[in-house]
Amino acid sequence: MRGICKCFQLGEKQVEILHGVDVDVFAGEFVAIMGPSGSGKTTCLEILGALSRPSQGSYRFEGRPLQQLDDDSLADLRASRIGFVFQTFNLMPRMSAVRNAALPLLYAGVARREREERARALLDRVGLGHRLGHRPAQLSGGERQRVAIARALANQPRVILADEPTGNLDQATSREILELFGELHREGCTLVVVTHSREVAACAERVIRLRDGRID
Amino acid sequence: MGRSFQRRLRMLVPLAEDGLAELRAAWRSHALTLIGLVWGSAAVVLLLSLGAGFTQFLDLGVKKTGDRWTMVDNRYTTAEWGGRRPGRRVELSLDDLERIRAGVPSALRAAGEILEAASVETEDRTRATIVSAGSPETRGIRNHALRRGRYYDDSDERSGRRVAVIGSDLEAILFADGESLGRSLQIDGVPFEVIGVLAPKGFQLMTDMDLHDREVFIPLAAGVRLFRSRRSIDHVYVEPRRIDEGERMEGEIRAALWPLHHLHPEESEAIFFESVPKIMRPVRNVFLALQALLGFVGTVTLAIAGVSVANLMIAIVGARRRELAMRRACGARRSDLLLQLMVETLVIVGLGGAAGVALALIVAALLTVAPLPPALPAPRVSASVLLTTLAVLAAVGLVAGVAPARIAARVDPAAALRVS
Repeated sequence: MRGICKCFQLGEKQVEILHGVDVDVFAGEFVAIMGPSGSGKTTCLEILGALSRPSQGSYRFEGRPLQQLDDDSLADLRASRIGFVFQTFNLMPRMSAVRNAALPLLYAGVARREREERARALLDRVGLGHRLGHRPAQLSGGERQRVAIARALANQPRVILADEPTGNLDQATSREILELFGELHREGCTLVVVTHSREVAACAERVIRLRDGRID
Repeated sequence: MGRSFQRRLRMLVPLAEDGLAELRAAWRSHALTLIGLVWGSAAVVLLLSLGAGFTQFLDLGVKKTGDRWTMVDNRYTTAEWGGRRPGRRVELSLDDLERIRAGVPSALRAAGEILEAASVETEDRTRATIVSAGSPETRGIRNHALRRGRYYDDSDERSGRRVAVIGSDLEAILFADGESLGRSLQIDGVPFEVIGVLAPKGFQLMTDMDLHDREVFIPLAAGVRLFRSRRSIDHVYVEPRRIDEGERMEGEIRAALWPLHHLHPEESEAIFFESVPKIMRPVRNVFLALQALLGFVGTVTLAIAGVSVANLMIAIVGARRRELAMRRACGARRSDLLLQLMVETLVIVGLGGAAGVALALIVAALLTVAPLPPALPAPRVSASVLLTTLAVLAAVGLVAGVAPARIAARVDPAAALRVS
């Protein structure tokens, strides 16, 4: 990302959240983004994940400039290249663990049987092979986050973006999730994690600090 | 294009399953909307079926009585002509019948008829009824179907044989054992042999209403002799070769009869025509308008339920912004969310509609077996009624789904992060 600015309209007032941020994330890196609340960490992650367009500046993903891509192309990019993990898991409450994990495959146009097979394999990998048919309400916090990680891995993405992935978990469960992230990193997956936690940041190879919308 | 279509196709079933899961989980908040849909779709089916029932009733009623004939009837003159004053009664005769048969090329067949009230007796029973003395062609023109025996023919007519065909109800009244064929009955004291029993017609339009099943039908020649006071016939039924030749046929009848009866060329009362196709045209239009009105009322009822569905779906989109944003983050395009909301709306409308149609089928079946008065037809649930209801339901579902689907499609994917 080069010279990224992001403005939001709040009533009649325009608020600039990011002021010319330059960030490079290299393939296979484990990067943590830290900073106080309101520093622009989540906004930065939104732009990195092609969820939001910058107001100014340029962003290249795998060398490809994203400014020119239309909305559908950005959606396809998210479906095929990027996985998301959220603090509150964001699982579909009415769906089983298998269907939750298979959700990105639905939008990638994968056939039903293959979707289910791949989702089962991923859940097995994150240690939930015995909880396939359970709904989020029937799972513990750690198990829910594992389902969310399985979902993020569904399309074998190059990059996983996580927003406070251990924010809602106890210490023991957090450690399990961080071990899982470490495993993914060792397998060559690029990880960008927004966090307040020093423990999480300690697992990363590099820490980017943001303060008031600027790299600190 | 093909790949994109295949992708969408693969989404349909899971999205419909999601819709059903939502419905199951939140059925209480959906209940009122579903009741509205059940009521609305039942109203569409029942009102359309009622309209179709009326139209079928009309068609069947006309078919029973014969749907092509024109009746030539007589009254008094209204204009002076050839020194003859107005108010003169014109009477149709057997000669007029022969003139029509010989001099009207557009006519396929013609039958004279005398109608008289008479007393009909068997060995132990008596009944006052209507006797129809008609040419053998009456059977074809007026669609008389036989239940048993035979109808009188040209030979009976030529020989003036005293034979009778009776209505099915009259047979039951006069013959306690239900066997009338070959037996004798007396009309005004004159014996006739029963040679046939007509199939029941029930209520019919145009003529006789439901008297047909209690009438006696005898050859015209026998009728002329029976009712000696009669020198004329009451009317002549004429059937055109083609149904659209009615006007031309009337012109030819005028040309054949007017000069012989010394009628003013513009006279339209002394001898006049009652044509079934001509009478039925405006009646059919009224029935079609009634059917359209009933369909419209049903559609409006369902459309009101559709508004309720749209409101419900808008509320659902509001409550599920986070989920929709999450789907966008997982790679859903705007059009995928549009499709999802349309599918979910159609699932709700489809379920409510199916229940409404089922309810309407039950009500229609009950009305069919209920003892309704003869002039009140039962609703007729036809394939076209069901297809029209399906089309109305689909239209309501699509229109109701558009607004919430568009709102869903505008959900910002970044909201998945912000709300988290």
